[in-house]
Amino acid sequence: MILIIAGATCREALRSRSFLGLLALYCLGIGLARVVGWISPASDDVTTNLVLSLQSIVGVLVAVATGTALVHTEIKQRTLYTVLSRPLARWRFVVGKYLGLAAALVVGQGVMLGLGLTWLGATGAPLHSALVVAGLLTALEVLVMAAVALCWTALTSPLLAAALGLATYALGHAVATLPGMLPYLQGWRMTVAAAGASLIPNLGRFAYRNDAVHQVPLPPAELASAIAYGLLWIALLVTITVAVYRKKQL
Amino acid sequence: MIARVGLTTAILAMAAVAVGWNARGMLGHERAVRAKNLDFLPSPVVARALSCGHPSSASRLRWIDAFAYFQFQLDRKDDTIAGGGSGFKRLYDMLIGLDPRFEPYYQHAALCLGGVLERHQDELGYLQRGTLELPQASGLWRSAAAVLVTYYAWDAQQPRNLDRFLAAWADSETDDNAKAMVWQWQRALARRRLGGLEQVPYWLDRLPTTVPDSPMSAFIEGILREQIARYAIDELSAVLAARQAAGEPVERIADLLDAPRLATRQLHLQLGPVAVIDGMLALRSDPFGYPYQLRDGRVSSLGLDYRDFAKAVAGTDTKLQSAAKRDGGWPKDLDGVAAVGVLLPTPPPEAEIDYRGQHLIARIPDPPASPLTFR
Amino acid sequence: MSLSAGSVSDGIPDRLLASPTRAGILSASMADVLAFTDVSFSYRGDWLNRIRSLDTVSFAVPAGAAYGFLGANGAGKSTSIKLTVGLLAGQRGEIRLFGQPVGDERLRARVGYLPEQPYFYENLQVHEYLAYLGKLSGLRGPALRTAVDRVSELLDLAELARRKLGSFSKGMRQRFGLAQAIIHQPDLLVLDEPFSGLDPLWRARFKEVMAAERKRGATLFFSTHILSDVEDLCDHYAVIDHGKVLEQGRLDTLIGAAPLALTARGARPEGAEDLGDGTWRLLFPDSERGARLAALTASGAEILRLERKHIALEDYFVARVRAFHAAGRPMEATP
Repeated sequence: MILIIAGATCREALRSRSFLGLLALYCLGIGLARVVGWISPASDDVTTNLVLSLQSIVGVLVAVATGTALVHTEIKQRTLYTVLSRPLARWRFVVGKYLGLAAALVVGQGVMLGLGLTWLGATGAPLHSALVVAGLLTALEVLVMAAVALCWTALTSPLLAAALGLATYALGHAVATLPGMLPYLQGWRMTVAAAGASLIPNLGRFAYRNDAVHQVPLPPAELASAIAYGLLWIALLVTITVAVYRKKQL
Repeated sequence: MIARVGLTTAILAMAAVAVGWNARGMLGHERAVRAKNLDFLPSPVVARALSCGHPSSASRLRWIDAFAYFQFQLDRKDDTIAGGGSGFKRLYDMLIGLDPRFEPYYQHAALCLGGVLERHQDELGYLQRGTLELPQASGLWRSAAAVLVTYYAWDAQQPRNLDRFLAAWADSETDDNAKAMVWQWQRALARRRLGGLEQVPYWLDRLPTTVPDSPMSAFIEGILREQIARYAIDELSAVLAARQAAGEPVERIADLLDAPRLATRQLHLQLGPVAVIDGMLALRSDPFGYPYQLRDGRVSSLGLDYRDFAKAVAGTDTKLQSAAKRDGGWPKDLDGVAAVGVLLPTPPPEAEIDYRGQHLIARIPDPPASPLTFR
Repeated sequence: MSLSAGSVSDGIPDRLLASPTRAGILSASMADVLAFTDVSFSYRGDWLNRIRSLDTVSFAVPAGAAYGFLGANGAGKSTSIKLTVGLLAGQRGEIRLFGQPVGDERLRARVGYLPEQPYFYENLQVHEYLAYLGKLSGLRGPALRTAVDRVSELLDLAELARRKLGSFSKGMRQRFGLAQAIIHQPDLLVLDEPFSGLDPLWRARFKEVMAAERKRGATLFFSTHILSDVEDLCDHYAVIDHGKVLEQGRLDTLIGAAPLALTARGARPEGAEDLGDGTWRLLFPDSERGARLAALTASGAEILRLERKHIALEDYFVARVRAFHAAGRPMEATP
């Protein structure tokens, strides 16, 4: 059942205009990255950095935009009615919707990574396996953000959920730098800051792209840890979403 | 149908006007000296937090933008910012904080602080910080060694410490060939030591780390030409003084092709002002491609004069912009510029100052010969 | 005139008619397929206000019936339907579906639902979407393909198989909506305003399909605010207004309760309406038929015509609802 819903959701998402529009935006972005590279002394390095960053930024925009609309639009437009009136538990529906979105995002990330690496190769920038690993971790980051967006929508309106989703993205990366800033705080302030930061997914764990440009190798243990961390947060956020939608009146 | 064609035509016409208007505003401008206010730069830790997971991309974009600041400081030779402190240091501390593994940040920090502001202690600090973060960055080690030798004369005054430094450099290299090159560097540096051209080896060493035709490359080549031109002026002036002291007439620059006196100067064969062509002494063009001149009883390099003139005009333009901001408007012409209290520099022969688009621009004739190149 | 089980389906080929299912036969033996007992439901409106949409609603849909659920917009029809198919929950009172409490989603495998003004994913094609919903209802493999083909042909969707639903008109969406509701041959077909957006031809076709489903053994439960649809299709009815059931029962009982109209010439009895030209018309209940005819024959009156007076259901129900509002109380259900 879950896979049936996931399949339909994935197909619907991949055919949507906003999805394709954002992919087009990515293509435009990597073209502009080359132009920026031309006015820089280290053009290949700058282009590579910007291409990797764009995969994350565009991916997160797609994830937040689609994630916030995923279930809420179905309720508002009542496309949900013909599905949930069938012998289908709501939790299966929510999990299926998320998996479908995740599948679509993975396809999108794969296309972006492929296009990005092809473009870098065509412009003469050096290619290496670290860039692929960085792209895969960015894809995991995007999946976590999709779960964040889905969870926020269960709790509030789609517009506010999108804003909160993007704020979570900014905070999730800021949290990664918190250890360097905590020594500036004392006493209860440090405790409060640390406790608050612990509630936010640390997206810095997926930001290998900053080291990948310099071909700094990622230890396998760290890669496995980042994957496990991402899957844990996804499971947690989707479970919260299921709990909220279980009793929601449609 | 007619309405649709009319609407399409109207859209195309308006779009053409809009795009053309934009393009007109972008093209045909002289390169303007820009000033950047670096007061707002956050600390490295805060910058990292604000970069939202893209510190290396954010640092690259900021770095590209920072070239405007670099260009400005070239003339002012001062990077103090409001509240005190160094703008360059603040900028590069932030960039390095965002991406400590990017070698060019250390190189450029060293170039700006050492090459522009001649603060070699700070320059050395950044280079050594770079070698700690990137032990295998040969360029950083080489630049640091050049600073130690050129500005601190470690080869003469601290030879044992220099050897320890070079040993540490060699240890950091993983490749045997690279290790050998460390010692070859030391021997090459010694061979290039020349009176009056002490800094040339340092700059020649920095040049390969830059991208050809980049602003940084142009800056270093300019410095090299300047130093070679000053060397030539010094040498030719010495010959002039000797002739004048001996009561021998000097009416033209060619009169300084005084073989016996030139022989005592031990001029550098490649970089000196005199060449031997078909067994005859000939005066080279200055490194900028212009002839050396005898003007008002002094030896001058027209290229150096034009370069100094261009810098002076750029500095005067900065003063004009400040005056315009103060007075709430720009003068209409050059006479008006003088009237607002901005003193215009005296142009060298065949050069002039132009006032266009509310900016002062130095107009310099093209050199008759090709400038000296170093790559 | 109701479409009974024996007078239907002339317009639909036999091969497209589903056979009565075993489950359908079994359910027909049950007393009630759907039963609401003292069901009340409210939801949160603005701020902390609660809006009561159903107030102690009770009705029962017998197995095999065609049950018309009548009411104006906002009466509580859709709320009742959503509670039946699990889109809403948390009601007071009891709702039983196939004799079981309504909360078990497995029961919904036997239910087909057409929402009011249905919307569908815009980027899925017709056959993809039917297959998707068919799979969610438990169909697989060849059975799924056969079911998709059957309902597509039944509702003229075969030529539109590769079109995306985003380009569909309201009527086309309604046809798709019915197709997805019947694809798995449900025992209970719950339709919310099924004729909305349909032209007269498709209204007639929908009625044929619904009747065919009933012939297969399904129970029909549909809401409408158009009384002629109830007259054409139903044998049971309930009227709901402002969250309360005003009246419910068998339609033939209601129709059977209509008076007889006797048109005759001769001595005009008391209470008869003078039609002029020496003729008159008298209305009297069916129970007085024998006595009245005997009396008229004895008086020498010439009987021209005896017929049952046609009840204009619309006028009837409007009158009943107005009476309810005037009295401030619900009417007793007619048997």
